[in-house]
Formats: sequence, structure tokens, C-alpha cells
Amino acid sequence: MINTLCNIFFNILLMIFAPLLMVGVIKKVKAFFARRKGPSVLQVIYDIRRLFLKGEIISSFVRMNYTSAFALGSLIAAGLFVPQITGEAVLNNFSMDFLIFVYLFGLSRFFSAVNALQMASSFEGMGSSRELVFSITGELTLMMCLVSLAFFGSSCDFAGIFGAFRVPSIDNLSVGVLACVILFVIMLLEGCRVPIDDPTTHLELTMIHEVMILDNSGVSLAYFIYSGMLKIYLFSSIIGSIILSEFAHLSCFIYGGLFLLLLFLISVIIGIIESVQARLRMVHVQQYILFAAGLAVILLISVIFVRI
Amino acid sequence: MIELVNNQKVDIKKLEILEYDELAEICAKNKFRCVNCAAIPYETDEDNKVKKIRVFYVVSNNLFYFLSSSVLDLSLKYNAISSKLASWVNFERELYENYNVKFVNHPFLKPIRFAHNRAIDIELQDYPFFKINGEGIHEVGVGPVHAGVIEPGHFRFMCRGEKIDHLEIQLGYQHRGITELLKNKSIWQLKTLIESIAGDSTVINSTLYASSVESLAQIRIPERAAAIRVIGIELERAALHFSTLSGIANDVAYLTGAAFAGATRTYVINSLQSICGNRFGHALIGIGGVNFDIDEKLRDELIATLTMVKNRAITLEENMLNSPSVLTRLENTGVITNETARKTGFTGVTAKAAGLNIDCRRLANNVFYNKYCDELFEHYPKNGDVLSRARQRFVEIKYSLDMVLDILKNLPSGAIKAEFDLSQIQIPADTLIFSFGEGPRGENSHLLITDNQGEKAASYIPRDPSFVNWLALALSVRGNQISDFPICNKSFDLSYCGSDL
Repeated sequence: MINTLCNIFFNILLMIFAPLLMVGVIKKVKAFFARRKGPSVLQVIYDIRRLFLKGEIISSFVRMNYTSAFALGSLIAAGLFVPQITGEAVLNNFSMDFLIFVYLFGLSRFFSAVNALQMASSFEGMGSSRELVFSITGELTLMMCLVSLAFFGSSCDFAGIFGAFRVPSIDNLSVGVLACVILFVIMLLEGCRVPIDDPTTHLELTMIHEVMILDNSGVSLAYFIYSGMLKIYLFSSIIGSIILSEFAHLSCFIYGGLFLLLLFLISVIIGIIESVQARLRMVHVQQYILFAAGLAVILLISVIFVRI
Repeated sequence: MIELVNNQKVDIKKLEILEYDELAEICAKNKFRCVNCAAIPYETDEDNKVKKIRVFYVVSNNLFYFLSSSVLDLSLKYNAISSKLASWVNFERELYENYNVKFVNHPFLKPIRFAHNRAIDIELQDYPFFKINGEGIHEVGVGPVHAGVIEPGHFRFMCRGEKIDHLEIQLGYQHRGITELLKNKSIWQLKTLIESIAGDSTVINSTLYASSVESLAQIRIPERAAAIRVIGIELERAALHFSTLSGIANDVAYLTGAAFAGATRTYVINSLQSICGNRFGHALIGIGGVNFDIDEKLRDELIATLTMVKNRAITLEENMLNSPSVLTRLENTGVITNETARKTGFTGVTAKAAGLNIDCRRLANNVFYNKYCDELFEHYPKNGDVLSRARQRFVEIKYSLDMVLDILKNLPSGAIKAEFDLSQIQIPADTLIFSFGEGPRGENSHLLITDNQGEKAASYIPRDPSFVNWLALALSVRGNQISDFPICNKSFDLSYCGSDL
């Protein structure tokens, strides 16, 4: 009983604060590369707090004012199925949970697209069309990757999938690395980071995700910004669970520490990528995702060979 | 039509008056682009209402400048020169807006900056935008208030999906009526106004103003002052190019390049500050010379700083223009072909990156520039795309810094300001004076016409290269992805206030 409560408490706590701190670390790394001092790691938290305290201006075209909350809500629901710091998800041993995870992500994307379209501005139309076009391949790739992992682990839930990596072997290593690379690319796509999207330069004509929230303010803007960060955190958690599954038998403190370290490392890697690389041209983004899709096909084929 | 050299005085009473059609014929035959044009009232009726205007045109074939004039009757219709020569479009639009000259066959007869004293009856909200209809065509309007800290301007895109078919740029939000303010004041008192035309072209504008007045008053400036003026202009150019490169790097999200270029720009403008106390060169130039001297200690400091800046520029070029992820954004984006640049009369980086060898420093008749002008044009693939323009900016930075370092090392001795007695000087009346120079963005030119008393300006038109070059941006984005627009815009880095006046 206490175990379960602790599991729920720590996972929810991390789900609230880790995304904010991860983005804070990314910003700090970028500042380091630009030889700047940079904002404090906690600045993201202050920003979100400021947005929550602010009033909101709502476009007169808006009929569904709850889309931002639904977009975030679907993501949080998706997060409940993902094993986090304790190595277990809040809703554990839930059959086919990876399917629910992927489609709750899709639902969140649907709500943010609806939110953008109901603003009736040509920018937002452009932004939602971009986001949805890119996520066609993105979602397919993610699905293919998770299905391969499920096949590899002969299990239909996250716990079983990650359990398959518990024993170090050459099969596990190669499948794990491939899956991590695919998930990392999808994370950059979903979290709107460089080289796909650039969250710092506010040029309305080049943005993908950011342009969809141009007309949001106050609380709903905070919801959208927070969902962007939460996506990064959730993908990092999946990557972390794959990498750290060998350590699952260790004490929960060591596992938790390693998990936090891994989140930190992933943020640093994202920060380094953002510092040294320029953005892709919009027409090349699809090719970049197709690279991940190609890896997913390789993953699927190799898993079939390993398992049959 | 007479040939003009830099800072040449012309008595407008002796200047022949051409018919507009005759002028059009000469210009079309020789493919002259318009450089500057100014109008003064020629005939007024009893209510002081202008009936005829006399217009002075400075035209160029990129090797020589020519002056001609014509009288336009405001009740008659004229066949527009821009129907044959695209470089005249904005100049005729300006005449149409300010005096309601009735042009026919003009391809683009729309107001240009919505001046408060405009002669035509049209409001800002009725601006006739070009429209395209059809399946999948949508219109995107950006500005005048932008998401970044830039000047106001409205951009109207006609897009097919993500592809731009047409871009129309509507400016005028920065119009402060500078040309009206410059009129009817003693020509000795215009310095502050001239310096505020465009913040990043202060030194070039104030130099052109000072040299116009010096030429009118027959003041010869000392050699040391001329050297310091060149140092000021070249530092200003290097500073603008660094800020543009920083902007390009920022727009492609190349963080390290943006931070490095931005920091390097600070060294350049701080050098300018150490000379005259202002980072943008306000108050550096005075009539008769310069207001601030460079002493031995400052000279050594400047040489050390600028050598370091030059090394940083080389480092930046090596890293930025060899990074594949940056190159893929810059290559073949926003192309201005050689032919387009020639036809539309673009100057500055835009023209040079398209392979045209236009640089006013060659023609400016300045001893310091004459010394260096042979090695002005470096060879690299000039496709007229964003990459060529970025490369041209690096070329110019290195060239400018080399020139400044060389001048600093051999700084001529002597006074920094000519001695003159204001009470002895008689400014000639009814005289036109034209001075030009290569500013950071291209060909800056000032056309000053004194009134029938002398002392005051009947018309003073400072012309920023942006006035012509904005069209380059509109043409370059056609067929490009709309997401590439910001980087195209930044690669030109044109001035809104310089064009709006």
C-alpha cells in the first residue's frame, strides 16, 4: 500500500517539476555555448507561474475554450502509463498501454490543432497544417518502434517491454540503441526542438508548434508551453526506462538517482544539439523524420529475425 | 543631360529642361537607372497652388552619373518611364504621391509612404494590394507590428500552400517627414536631422551632408579629417554587416554563430565610441572636418582591437560558412539573378552578391578609396542567394577592416578641421549639389538644391539604398518557401526608416 502511494506521489511530483527543470537545463547549456550567463534553471518555473497568474485574452472566434486544458490533460493521462523515476508507471500492468500512450499523444495534438484552427487566423492554419503533416510520419514511426519493442519483449505493456532489456546481451543492446535513437528523433519533433523547430526565435512564418499558440495567452498559453515540455520529459522517461532496465533490481534510491542523472544528460544533449546545429529547412523536416522511420523499419525487421 | 562627379555644383538656371518623353527615350536607350530625384515648384497660380514642378534626375549607368531635369505639368498625363525601366518605379511613385503627377502605363502606381502632406486622396486602409485568386491560394499578412524587435512594415504574401507566389511590401510607418523638415532651414543647421535619418547609417549620411555643404561653401577639409571620415564610414559598415550576420545565424537557429557575431559587433561599435563618444558615430562628422581626433594612444588601441575583430571575422566565416546545417539553409534561398539586379537598379550587397561590380567607393573621387579600389571585388560563386550575400558581407568586413587598419597605421598628420569664417562665406543661390558614397547598404546619395537666396535648401533629398532595394526582397522570395522569408529578409537587412524618411 505504502509502496503504491510512494510510487504515485513521486511519479506525479516528477511529472510536474522535471519537465520545467529539463528545459531550464537546456537553456543553461545553450547559454554556456553562447558564452552568456543565461537565466537561472528555475526561470522556467517562474515563467509558468507568471502565466498562471495572468488574465487571458480570448479570440471572439473561439467556441471551445477548453482545448488547451484537454491538450494538456491528454498528455498527463498518457504520462500515467509511462514508467518513471520508480521504474513503475502510476497505472501499472495495464495491457496495451503503449497503444493508449501513442493515441493520447494523438488526441493532445488534435486538441492543439483545433485550438489553432478556431482562432481563424491564416498563421495558425499554416501552423496546424505543418504540425499535422509532420506528425503523420512521426506517429507512424513511433508506433512502429513501440510495436517492434512489444514484439521483442513478447509483451503488450510498458513493464513487459522494458523488462526484456533487463539482461544485457548483444540483441538487447542493438535493439535498445536503435529504439533510443528513434525515440530521441521523435522527441525532438514532438517537443519542437532544433533542428525541427526553434522555440527561441519568434518568427511567425517559420514556426511549427509555436505558431499554433500565437493567439493564446495566460493560463491556456501556460498549458501549451507546459505540454511541450511534458512531451520531452515523457519521451526521456521511455528512453531512460530502456537504458536503466538493467538496474531495476537495485534499490529504488539508486535507480531514482540514475534516472534523474539520465534526464539531466538528455537535457544536456538537446542543449548541445541546439547550440551547434542550425535548423532544418522546412522541406527537409519530412526527410529527417523519414530517417527515423527508416530506422524503425530496420528495427522491426531485425526484431522479427531475432524472435523468429 | 550633363555628367556629374561627386560633390559637383550645378547652376540650375543654366541646366537644360528636357521633355519627359525625351528623357524616357534617352534613359531607355542607355538603360540608365535612377539614383536620386528631387522636385521643386516651378509655376504656381494665384492661390499659391503648384501648377508645374521642375524635377531633377540623377541617373547612372554604374560608371558615370548624369543630371537632367524636366518640367511636369500637374494637369497633364505623362507616359511613365517605369513602363520601360523597372528601376524608376519607386521614384515615379514618389512623384505621384507628393505631387499627384498623372502617370500612365505605370506598372505599380500606388502610394509609397503615406506622407501626411500627400497630394493624392487615398487612405492607408484602402491600399490596393495585389490579389491572386484560385484553388489553394491563401493570403498571409505580417506586420506592421512584428514578433521581433524590428522596425514596422507590412508584408502581404500570396501563397500557394507553403510556397510564396507574390510578396507585396507596404512601408511608410516610419515616415517622419524628414525631407519637409530639411527644407527652409539654414543649410548649416541640418546636421542633427541628417544624423537621425537612419541610426545605422549615421556616419555616411552626415559625411555626405558635410561634403555637400563644404562644396557649396568652398571649404577644403584637411587630409587627416578625410582619413578619420573614412575610418568612421568603414567601421559603421563593418558593424552593420556583423549585426546582419548575427541575424542570419539567429534566423537559422545557429546559436553559436549568432552570439559570436553579435559580440564582435560590439567591439566594432565600441571602437567608434572610443573615437567620438557615440557607438553609432553621432557627432563624429562636422562641417569642415571631423570633431574628434585620434591620438597616439587611441590609435594603438584601435589597431589592437580591430586586428582582433578581423581574426574573429575570419574564424566566424570559417565556422559558419563551412557548417553543413547552415549551408543547406542559405544555399539557393532567395535568389536575385544578375539580370534582375541589373534591370531593377539594385546597389550594395544585393547587387554585388549577384555579380554586378557596383561600388560607389570606386567613383566617389576620394583619395583613400582610390588607393584601394582595385581590389574591391573578390571572386567567389556569386549566385545572388542568401549564401552569396552572407559571403559578400564577410568580404566587405575584411576589406573595410584592412582599409581602416592601413589608414590608422599611416594616419596623415595635421589639423582635423578646416578654418573658415562663416561671415565671409556666401552660399550660391539656385544651385544643385549631388554627393554620393557607399553606405553600409549600398549607394547613399544626397541631392541638395539651394533656394533663390542661397543659405536655405529649396529641396534636400537624402536617398537610402533601401528605397530601391526593398523590391529585391519582394522578388527574391517568389517561389521560395514562406518559412524561408525571415532569412531572406535578414540577408538584405534593409532600412525601414531610411526608405520612409
